Amino acid sequence: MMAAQWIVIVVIAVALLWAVLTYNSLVRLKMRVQNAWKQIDVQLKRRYDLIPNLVEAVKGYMKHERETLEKVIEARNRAASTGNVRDKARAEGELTGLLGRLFALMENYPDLKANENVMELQEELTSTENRIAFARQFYNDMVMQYNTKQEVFPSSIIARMFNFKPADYFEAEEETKQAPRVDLKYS
Amino acid sequence: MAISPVEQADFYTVEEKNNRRTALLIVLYLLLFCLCGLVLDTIYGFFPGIPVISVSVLAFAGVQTLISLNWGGELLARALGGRPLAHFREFRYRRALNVVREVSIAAGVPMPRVYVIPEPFPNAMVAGTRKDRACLCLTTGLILLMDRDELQGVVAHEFGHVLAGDMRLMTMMSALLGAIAILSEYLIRGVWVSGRRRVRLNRGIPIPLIAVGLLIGIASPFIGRIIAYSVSRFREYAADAAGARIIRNPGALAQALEKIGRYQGDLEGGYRAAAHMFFVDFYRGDANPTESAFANLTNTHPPLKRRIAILKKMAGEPVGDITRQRVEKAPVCPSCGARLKPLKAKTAYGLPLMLDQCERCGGIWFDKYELSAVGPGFHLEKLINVENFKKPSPYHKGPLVCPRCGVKLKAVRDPGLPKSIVLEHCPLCAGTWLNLEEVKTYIKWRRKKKVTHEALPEELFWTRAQWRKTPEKRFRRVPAKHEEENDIAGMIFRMLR
Repeated sequence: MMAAQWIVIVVIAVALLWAVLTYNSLVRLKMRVQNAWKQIDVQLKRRYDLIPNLVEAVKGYMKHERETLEKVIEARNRAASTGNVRDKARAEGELTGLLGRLFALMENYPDLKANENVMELQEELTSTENRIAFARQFYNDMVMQYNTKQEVFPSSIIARMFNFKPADYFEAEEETKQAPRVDLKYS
Repeated sequence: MAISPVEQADFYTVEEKNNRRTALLIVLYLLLFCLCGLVLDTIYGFFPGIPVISVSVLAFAGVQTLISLNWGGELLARALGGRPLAHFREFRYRRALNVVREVSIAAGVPMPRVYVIPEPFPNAMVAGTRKDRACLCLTTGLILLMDRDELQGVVAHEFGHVLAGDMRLMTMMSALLGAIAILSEYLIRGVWVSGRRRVRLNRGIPIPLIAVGLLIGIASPFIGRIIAYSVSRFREYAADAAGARIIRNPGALAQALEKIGRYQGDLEGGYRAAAHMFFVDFYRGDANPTESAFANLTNTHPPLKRRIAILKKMAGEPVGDITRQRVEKAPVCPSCGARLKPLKAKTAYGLPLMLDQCERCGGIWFDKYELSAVGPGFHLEKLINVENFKKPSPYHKGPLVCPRCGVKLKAVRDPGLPKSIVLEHCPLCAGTWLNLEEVKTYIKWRRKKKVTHEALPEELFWTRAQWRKTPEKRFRRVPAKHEEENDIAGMIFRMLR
């Protein structure tokens, strides 16, 4: 065989290998994006479970804040029950704002803060809020990696060939994007 | 020394830059190693053409590395007196565990094993060489002194190391360093001794080559070490940047570093030999910031000031010099305008607390958190000599002004406190002013209330010996049996001991 033929064979083999590797890495990224999305759900579930406990624990102390507490429960129920993604997202955003407000209000009750049970619930809920935020952030990071890989040459060839679609970023609802207006302590 | 300008401001580029530098240094390092081995093989050459010595030394280093790769982290944590964090039931420990879990979600890394090391100073390290089996160690001092955000920053820094695979890298580096040391020993000894002893040089080796070999043999351990140190420093910068990226909050990390930089307490510790693995190396550089070029060359950690400066740039905050005391206007009493004098007090379990008291009227200024931190063990009564104080004079006609910020204080009643206490609260710095009468009422009320959540767990103030002799069972949160099953590292540790 001639040298040229060998060269052609080697080039094709390398190209094939590259195609397989690229395809696999795209699939892997896609899986990671899906997994990251599921992780958000896990944390949201944790939040639904914790909220009623917290509200129950603080109810006795925060008699003047009945309205806020009711709103929190209501938003929680709405978020937990609706299947519609958009409604759910809105309810979640509202819930985040309300919880921030509730925490700020709790600052006004040192007695409440001395209650070990409440403290622990609050810590768990704070942690859950952070986990939700971080899980979303991680999801977006993964989406960025995935989408970049699809756009960047030469892996874009493979992505187009096998019809990979860019994933959607998680975006905060317009109304929640502005920092929730929280009545601060002593103001 | 002035801080040289930091060009990069965002964490992606900082991380990448340091990663590139590290890769370059590793290549250099391997080249040095190969050079050493090959020269040795050429000079001795038991089997011409086969680099026996290089290969066998490399294999030895490899085996050593493999052993430490698997169990290293947890064994090290145990050796430092660590106990699993999950065993502690006190609020702060649970919060710390929560923070670690949060950051692990942000980093997309499985939850590591977390250990508490009984040291009074704030520090952290990550050990273990696999991403899925990392072992994170936090000192009790860290858990005690850091607030939630700062703890997040420190933990995120450690996760930065995990994500970059730094522990494995540094383990390999130290194994290679050991290998180089062995090789150079042979090289020097071989050339020295070969004249008289039976070890012979191969024939026909030109003298200049031998001379070069000798030189390399002498120099390479030093060069290797310096390379290792600078790799370590780059890894710290990269981990800072990665940590900032993970939690998207470089400010928290900078704040944690500043707080650690201000730490003046006990440094006696059992881990001197492992100091280079921690978040901050208290024993070198960071504790005594000599910034000469030579000191920097041999430090495993970059100077704190520079780390803080880079992080603050990322956060878009002004960069100050933390080592120089801030020159402030001396704080004056909001009521009388007299000087505020420092007043030593103690929190529950005896942590020192510095309050500010008016010389004239005896009112006390509590900075943020200080009011609730003074627990029932707050021995102010003895400190306040009540007779000496006069009635506050009307200093300002209008409302009282914060001694720290110069902002108007807001009078508020806290529904949880006795009715006679009116808190004069600063909306900016969250400090609180109480006059003498209110302080006295407050102390009485506190005494009645006994324990609050701010009370610190007593084990934070134990001595090392006390800690060691307390059986693990005392901290158990879950039934012992359940934990024992997973605790393989603990088993190995007990066996080795």
